[in-house]
Amino acid sequence: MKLLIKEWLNFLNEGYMQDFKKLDEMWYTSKNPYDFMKKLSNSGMRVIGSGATRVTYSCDEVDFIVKVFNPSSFMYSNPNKSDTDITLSKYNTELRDIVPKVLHASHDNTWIVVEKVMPISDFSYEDLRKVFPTAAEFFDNVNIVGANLSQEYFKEII
Amino acid sequence: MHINICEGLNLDRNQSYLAKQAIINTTLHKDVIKIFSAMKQIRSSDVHTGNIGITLNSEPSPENIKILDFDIVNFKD
Repeated sequence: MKLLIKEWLNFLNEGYMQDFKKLDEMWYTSKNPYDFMKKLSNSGMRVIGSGATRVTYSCDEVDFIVKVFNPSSFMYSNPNKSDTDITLSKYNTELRDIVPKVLHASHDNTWIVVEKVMPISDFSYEDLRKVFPTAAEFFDNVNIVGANLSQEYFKEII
Repeated sequence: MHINICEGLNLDRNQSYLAKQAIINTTLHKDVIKIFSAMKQIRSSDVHTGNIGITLNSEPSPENIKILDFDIVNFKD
């Protein structure tokens, strides 16, 4: 049993922890968000999205994304902080279950690592029916009354 | 989740009535319950298709639904 646990820990370390260690090293050399974002780009990650306060990086090889608080939006509160609070919250399960989990973070939440989430458009009709059973039942009920909706219309219902 | 049955699907009066009955007869499963629960604390304007994602697990289920970016209006720790 001990051997199994040790093997499992080794597996985790070789997976996520190696990547997180690399991110920590990138951050702690300067603790500067601009430098950090430059280093993320140099390490093969690319910008996959950006909003009012954050820039998001990831690449195909990893199953996580890095959200960096944009230093130029210092007048806003840092949403990374609330994401971390929700993941760590013991009681707020309603929100915790619907927010991508924070897996790692810098000491001041300038950047966080969260699980990778794919847009609805990337999933097949069959998979979406399993994820959205209410929409699937509604879709079937409406088709029974003669609407004859095509599978493409299912995403509209969601 | 909003849809105008009559206009969106070009249904006649009888079909519209039946479609409304179909909505009433639809059971609310975990997908809707999960989103409704979250909406107690986040803005409804944050709940739209472009802001909803799905985690990559082996078996797709309502557990995989995630809201990507939002403003909290009523955080309880």
